[in-house]
Amino acid sequence: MKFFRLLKGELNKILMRPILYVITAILVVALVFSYMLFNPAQRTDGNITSYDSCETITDTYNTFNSSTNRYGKSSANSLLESSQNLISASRTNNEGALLQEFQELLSNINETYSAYLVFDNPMDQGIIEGDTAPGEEIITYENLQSNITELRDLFESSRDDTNSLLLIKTADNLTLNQVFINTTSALNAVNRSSHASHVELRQTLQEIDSIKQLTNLFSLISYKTVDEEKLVELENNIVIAQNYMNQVEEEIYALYEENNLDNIDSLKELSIRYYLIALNAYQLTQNVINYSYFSDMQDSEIASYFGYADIYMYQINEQITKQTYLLNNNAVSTDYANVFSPTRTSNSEVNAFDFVYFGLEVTGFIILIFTVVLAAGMLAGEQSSGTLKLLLIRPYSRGKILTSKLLATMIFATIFLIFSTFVLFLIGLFTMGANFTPVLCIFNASTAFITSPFVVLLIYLLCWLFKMFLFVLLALAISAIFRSNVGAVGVSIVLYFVLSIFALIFAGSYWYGYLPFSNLDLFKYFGGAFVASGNSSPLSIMFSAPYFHGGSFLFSFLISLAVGVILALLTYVIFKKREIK
Amino acid sequence: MTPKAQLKQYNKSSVKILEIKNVTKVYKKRIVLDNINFDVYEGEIFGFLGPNGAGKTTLIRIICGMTRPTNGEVFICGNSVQHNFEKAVINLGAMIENCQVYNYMTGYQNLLYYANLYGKIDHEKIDEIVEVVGMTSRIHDKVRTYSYGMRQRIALAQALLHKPKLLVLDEPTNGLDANGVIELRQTLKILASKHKMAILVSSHILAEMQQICDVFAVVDGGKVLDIRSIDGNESKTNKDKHIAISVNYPNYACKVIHSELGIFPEIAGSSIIIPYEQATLKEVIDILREKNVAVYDSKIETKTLEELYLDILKNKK
Ligand SMILES: Nc1ncnc2c1ncn2[C@@H]1O[C@H](COP(=O)(O)OP(=O)(O)OP(=O)(O)O)[C@@H](O)[C@H]1O
Ligand SMILES: [Mg+2]
Repeated sequence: MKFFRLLKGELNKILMRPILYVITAILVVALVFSYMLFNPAQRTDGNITSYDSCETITDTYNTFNSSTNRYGKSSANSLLESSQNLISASRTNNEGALLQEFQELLSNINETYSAYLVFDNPMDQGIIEGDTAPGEEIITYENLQSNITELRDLFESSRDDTNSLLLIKTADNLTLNQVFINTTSALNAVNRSSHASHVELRQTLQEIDSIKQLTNLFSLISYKTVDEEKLVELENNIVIAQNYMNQVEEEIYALYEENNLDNIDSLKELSIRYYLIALNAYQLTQNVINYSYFSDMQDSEIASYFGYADIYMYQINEQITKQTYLLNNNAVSTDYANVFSPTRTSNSEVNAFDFVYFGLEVTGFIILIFTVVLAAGMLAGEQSSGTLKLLLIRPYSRGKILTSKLLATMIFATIFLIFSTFVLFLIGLFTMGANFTPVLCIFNASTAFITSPFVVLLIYLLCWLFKMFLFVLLALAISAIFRSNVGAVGVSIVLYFVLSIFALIFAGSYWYGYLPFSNLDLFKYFGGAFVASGNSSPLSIMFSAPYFHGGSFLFSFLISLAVGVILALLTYVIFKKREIK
Repeated sequence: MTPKAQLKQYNKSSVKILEIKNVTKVYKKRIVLDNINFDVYEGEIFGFLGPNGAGKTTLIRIICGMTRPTNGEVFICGNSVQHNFEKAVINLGAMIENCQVYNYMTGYQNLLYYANLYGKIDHEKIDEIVEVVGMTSRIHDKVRTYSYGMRQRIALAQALLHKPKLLVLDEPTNGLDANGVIELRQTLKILASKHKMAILVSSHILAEMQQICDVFAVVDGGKVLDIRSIDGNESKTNKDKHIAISVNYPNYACKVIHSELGIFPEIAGSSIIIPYEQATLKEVIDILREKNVAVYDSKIETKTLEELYLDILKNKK
């Protein structure tokens, strides 16, 4: 009760501080700016498009059954088939048979490798460069030429010794992997081309199919094995998927029979779901097998394939958890929102929640600075202005006074955060509408759950508060130690910026994750990684995945907590002993 | 007689409010306070005098718990400031050197803020204190707009808010106008006599202290040199009195007195000053008249605090 009076006093003081109005004004400006800057990349699940043009039930049904539809029945079934193939390839690999096949094919190629000299003809140069698909990395003639040469050299050198080639693979040779990838995509580009003059070229290229075969095999071969237990589980998954697909197909057929135009949306939804179940099963198979291969490797080895090993391992784990959950709960759907990236929409359409997350990344930072300024002003500021003396002669221990200041700043941080959220949500609601589709969260890459977007928003706000709490502690510690208001604000803000820049530069460095302040962002552990998967730009990694291999919520939480406890102890001890002049 | 024993002799009440026990403060080998001991009793105004750097502020900061003593302890109403801070300072009101109230609030908001820290806010009491410190007309202005003296007044008001048993003031007359000084003096007297407050005041202005204090201590170099009372005749010895005679030729008068009485009077302007114990007024006037020295005025004066203070400092050397 007595302490409550102290807290009330601190809150009153903040309310009367002129800086409150300055910050409120800045916050309002920031809210307006975030609206102007808001321009998220559309989240496309890409699956809906093929049914967009269908206007009748029959039309939709035919599209579903069409063999040319990438998202239709046949491609779904071939995905399941591919999953089966992956599993059996793993088995074969386990038995060493894959390696044998590779060796046979390689010796074959070594005899006829003159086939890929075709690219020595400079006439082809334009053809290759002109046929890169939009959005694909442009493959220049020089590039391809050197890749092919390299590939040829590799094959030549391994003519007598296949094992050495595979050794290179396991001894983390990124270039080798890249050569295969580049060559294959160049060949694909030529193959896809419908240009008349390419027909001739394609015929020559047919011989090169064996290279593709070889690269496929190459990617399947591993010195690691996948546990038979896991393979059986994967097979079971395929059976489960097949059952669900059969159910869905029955429903599709029933709707087709009914031929009621009102049902067209459900029909489309079911058709898409049919494909998605297969896709989910396929990705699950792929991920589990990959994870098995990589889980025994050193981070540095994995990094040579994926750049960010640690992040990759977390992502892949998160994917597996997600896919297993969806499959086992028959919950495969494109409906779930992903609200974890401020640069992408959470749903296929922009809605208020996206704006809230985007806006909070901006305003959250401003509120963080604000709380730091408040906290520093309350301790270092009061000390240098001389008001602290008149506070310290009141019947409250210094510990209580410090605690009241800490709590008062956090209360204001909370109020401002809630205020910003509220305003952002209202702006979002009136300009783009709200979408209350549930969110699929994967906590700590190990537990999946589907929940209301409000719950996720609440978690997000709590994560922000946690971060702010630590920065306030830092500001108080600096205030207590150096008695400098400007110093406390300066150091905290500079640290915040340095951390953000470090996060971009050192994402994926093994040591970075162990630094005290690199674990402050706990929201990552609620499922951000799968948003970023396939997009490993530093920015999306910064926002979404934990920084290091084995990173977990508990680890980050404990490290941050330890930092907090140390800062708090330091502040309390120093402030208790401090002579107030 | 030890200073403490002397003090006992003069005090009016026997309820000890402030007790300073063996307080020593050392800053990097420099002894700023050297084994200070004294008590302040209920209803007593205790002056704390000393030259710059004597250690006055340091002691006050120790009493308020701003600084820890290197040795010793301070008790307020029997509770140790060092070991039982919250209980001890509940009875303390203080104006510390360079203390400030919040300048972004009005004077009244400041008082509300401090009052809130002690419990339920009593608006009437606040108004009363505002009146006591003479700030009624400007109390609702922002402190930022106050003059230095007005700030001092607010600082005094915050010290009085919760009617503490012990009031500690470090140079409270700093920056106050003549009116303010007189009012402060009256206020302190009322607080001591009516509310039985124990008041510790440090100041440079000795004339001021003389009119306020019951007891004063002189410190220098961190040591309490003496503790004296300046209140009530019974406490005064003849030592503290002197004869002052205004004459036309002070130098000549001196010679005459010396030849007749064998003592050297001091000359202060046109007056000669003779310690009371060395001669009587009548004796001196008779001699002067005999020698045709014109006497314009004559009186027996009590030594001013200033003189006592200088005496004490002199004796030290
Ligand atoms: N933090 C400190 N570090 C070192 N020495 C100090 C410190 N604070 C005070 N002193 C020294 O202690 C002595 C007493 O200082 P104090 O401020 O108590 O004097 P004062 O009697 O209040 O003087 P004034 O009349 O000028 O206010 C001075 O010599 C001063 O230099
Ligand atoms: Mg002083």
